[in-house]
Amino acid sequence: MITRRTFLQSALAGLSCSVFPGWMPRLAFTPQNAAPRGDVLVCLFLRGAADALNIVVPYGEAEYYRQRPTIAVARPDDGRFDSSLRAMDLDGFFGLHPALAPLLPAWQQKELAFVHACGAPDESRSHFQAMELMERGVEAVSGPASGWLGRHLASLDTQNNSPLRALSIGERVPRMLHGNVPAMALRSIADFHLKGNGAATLEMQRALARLYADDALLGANGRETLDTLALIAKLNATQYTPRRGVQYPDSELGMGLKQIAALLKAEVGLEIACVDVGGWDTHVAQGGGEGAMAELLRDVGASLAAFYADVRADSGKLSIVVMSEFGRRVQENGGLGTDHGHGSVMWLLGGGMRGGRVHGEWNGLQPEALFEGIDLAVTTDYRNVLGEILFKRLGNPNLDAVFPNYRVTMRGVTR
Amino acid sequence: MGIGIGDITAVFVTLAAVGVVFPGLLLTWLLLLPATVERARERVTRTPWQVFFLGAIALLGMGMPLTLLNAAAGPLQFIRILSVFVLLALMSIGAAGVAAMMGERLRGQGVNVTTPGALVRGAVALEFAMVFPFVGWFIVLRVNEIGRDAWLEEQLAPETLDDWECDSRTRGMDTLWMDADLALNVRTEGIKPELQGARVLRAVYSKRQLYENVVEFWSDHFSISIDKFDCLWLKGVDDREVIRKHAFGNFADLLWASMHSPAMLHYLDNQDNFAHAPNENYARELLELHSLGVDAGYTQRDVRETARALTGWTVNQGWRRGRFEFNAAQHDAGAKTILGAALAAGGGERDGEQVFHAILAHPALPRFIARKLTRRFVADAPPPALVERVAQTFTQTRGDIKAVLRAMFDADEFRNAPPKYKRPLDFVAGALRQLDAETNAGAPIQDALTRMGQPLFQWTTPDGFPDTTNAWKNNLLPRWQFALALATNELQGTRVAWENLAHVANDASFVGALQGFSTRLLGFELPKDVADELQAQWRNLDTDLILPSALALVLASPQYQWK
Repeated sequence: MITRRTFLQSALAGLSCSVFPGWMPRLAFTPQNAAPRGDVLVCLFLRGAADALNIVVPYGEAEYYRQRPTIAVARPDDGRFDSSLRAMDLDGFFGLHPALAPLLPAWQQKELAFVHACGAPDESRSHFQAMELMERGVEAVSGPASGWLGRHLASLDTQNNSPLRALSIGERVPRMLHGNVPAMALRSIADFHLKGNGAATLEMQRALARLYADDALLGANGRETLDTLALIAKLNATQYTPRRGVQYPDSELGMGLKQIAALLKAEVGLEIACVDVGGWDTHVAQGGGEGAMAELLRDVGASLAAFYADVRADSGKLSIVVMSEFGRRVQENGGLGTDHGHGSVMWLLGGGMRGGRVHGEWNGLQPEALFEGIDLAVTTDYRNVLGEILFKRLGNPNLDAVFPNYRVTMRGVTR
Repeated sequence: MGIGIGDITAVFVTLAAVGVVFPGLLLTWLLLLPATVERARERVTRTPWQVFFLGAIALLGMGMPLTLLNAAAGPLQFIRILSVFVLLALMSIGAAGVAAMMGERLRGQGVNVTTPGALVRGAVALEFAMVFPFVGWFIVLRVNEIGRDAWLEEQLAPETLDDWECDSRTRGMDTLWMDADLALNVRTEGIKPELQGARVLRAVYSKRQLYENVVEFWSDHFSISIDKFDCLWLKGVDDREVIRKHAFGNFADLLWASMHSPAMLHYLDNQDNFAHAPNENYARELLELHSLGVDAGYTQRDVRETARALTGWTVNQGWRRGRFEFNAAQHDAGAKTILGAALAAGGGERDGEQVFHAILAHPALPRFIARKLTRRFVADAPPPALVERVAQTFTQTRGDIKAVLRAMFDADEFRNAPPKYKRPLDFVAGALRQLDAETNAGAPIQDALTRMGQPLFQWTTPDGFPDTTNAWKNNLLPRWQFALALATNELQGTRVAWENLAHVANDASFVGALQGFSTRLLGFELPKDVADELQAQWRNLDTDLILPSALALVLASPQYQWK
């Protein structure tokens, strides 16, 4: 029976195209891995509640410096500090943490934007509750157990049968990807194979396919793993070289983004990629322009910049979001760190973002404007930002399915 | 007239005949009336003493009089002989039930359908029990004792289980027994492998399996990451003095020990909790993760006040390095209100103790602990009724962990619980254990666990490794890689004892090996159509590859991922 899907697949087959990168064979049967309809979404989750105020620094606020005598990031024009320790001016009021210098060009090209005082309604200041609710895209524990990205994938048919439609770098698939569409977790493409000599491995895979074929509980995961094995075996992935001049840092994040870049360029049908970055729970010795958090930011900045430069040619079809479960206390604590807060900041990177701007409503840091008088308030719900990206950049109109019981209001963060 | 060779032969032949006839008779009953024998087996298994007394009454009350009574020939005599035969028939059906039960116990798994082979084995064991009374009784009694409740009671008294084999493997790991100040001088490379290795070795070799499981539960409940600053050197003490010491004790003691644990205070930054600038990390996680849960109804103010109360609870950095100390200079001496309880100023160290008491008195505590326990041991979504009962047991016994465990494992919900997905350590240690493998729990094992997502003691956040299926089931490939590596003896430091496993296979064919391993590891055979297809696929396999391939497939199978 000819369905629309099979018709499209056979039509696309005729379109398999042009230049083949030398290092890997273009997959002849493109229908299996058709291109996604919209942007590819890469979601970086900073686990542990990253301190928004030291990332996008409100250097125009006197209160910021009053509350953080030790760990504030210096003003761009503060001569007492070395320039490498001062915030880089963004728009005359906000500055960027110096460790994120590699991302400044993207800001200047209007492809990097921030949404400040952004976050979720959850008030518990608990990592675990906040992450759970945020990843599920709900306000109450009683909502659906699946993740917002899982529901996005389920509600959008991009006619993409690739096993790598959704990917998580690491050993586990984050909650936001949980749902009916199985997602793959992998740490390294080069390691993603069953060791052993070729024929025996293929026999083993066939046998595993039979074992998992009827299994109700693990069948989908088994099949996806096997499909991914087959897919990756076709790529000559060990020899991936980034674009000339691009140097990924040798960190977990750097290597992870490199895997994503490799898969993007191999056009395997990747639509969603998730990466976790840990270590942001800086209760103690957070540091300002330099220190523990600065080092984390340095890694993120260098890795993201390398990734963005590497996939530059496709940046028009790429949406990168960096988020965290909540922000941190305005006032520094006794350990020269910060305790849990509320409002956070989202970073948006991509050709489709309305960059060069700090979006969101800023009410200042006076106690009257703060949440419970101590934390940055949330003036933009994170679902408005994500919803707009899903709608306008990824082409998913079903936002009620993705964020149940919530009316997404677009804030104009995308073009 | 002496005893001639004929007499001796006759005696032996008679004994042999009886030896054959008895199992033969029981086997006939199994083949003729399988359902009845099964029911008899169930009765014997569930209520052995009832069956015994019934049989004794039947024998003494009816059998003996009937046999001894001598009636004249005729209808009465006919009825008498018929009754004797009927009685014998009934009793031998009962004996068939007993033999079936013994057969199943000897086979070691809870399969529901008795096979003829198992019954014969059981009947022979019964014969030995009858013919050689004392030896036989020990066989019968021992086999009968291995019912589940007896196992549970044995496991709940771990000190009665001699664990010399496991202990001999961990004895050489000196850092496990060190105090903090000594441990702090050991290099990273000396401590981490021992801490992680001991956990795996105990999971594989210890007879005290329930204890080790509960230790793992509390380790996750009071999770500490050894990647943070000094925690690597302090966690060994915590593991020994807090978790392992109180895992089967009382929750209050466990919590008290944890609140004084240098590793915990260090991990959650309480040594940086000062009067003039409190640090809320430990206070928050103490309430949220260790005792009450995020929806217990406490507020941000409670968290702040708890943090104030716990100022000064810190770790000595001087000559008693690595030990708990109360630093009055750091302490916030003002008045506080903890969870509704007012604390007067000047309480000092007792402020923290009041936090402890307030937590113990809080109504949310029993339910929180009960929910965590049932989620780990029963189901991802624990039945609320069970959680309630377990919570009540917790309240009534004031936190007696063994009583709470008993209440949980005795429950019907536990018996009928669906299988839980194996976490990586369950998978790896379970496989090594079932295969009687020899391992040093070295780097290859730890790497495998890391790739599967469970680097021991290295979970970064204080909530510990997750309990739910969804957290683990998306990462199958490392398990397949481990299955292959284990089956082909490619893991350095770990070896499957093939010489002991050769007999596991049913026959020399691939499907024989597959079903043999399946039965041994899973307790049941793989579905026939799957096995047949695999046999067809691997028809031409080299003989020396049959066993490893079969083993690898069973370990990698979807069925093996559940417990």
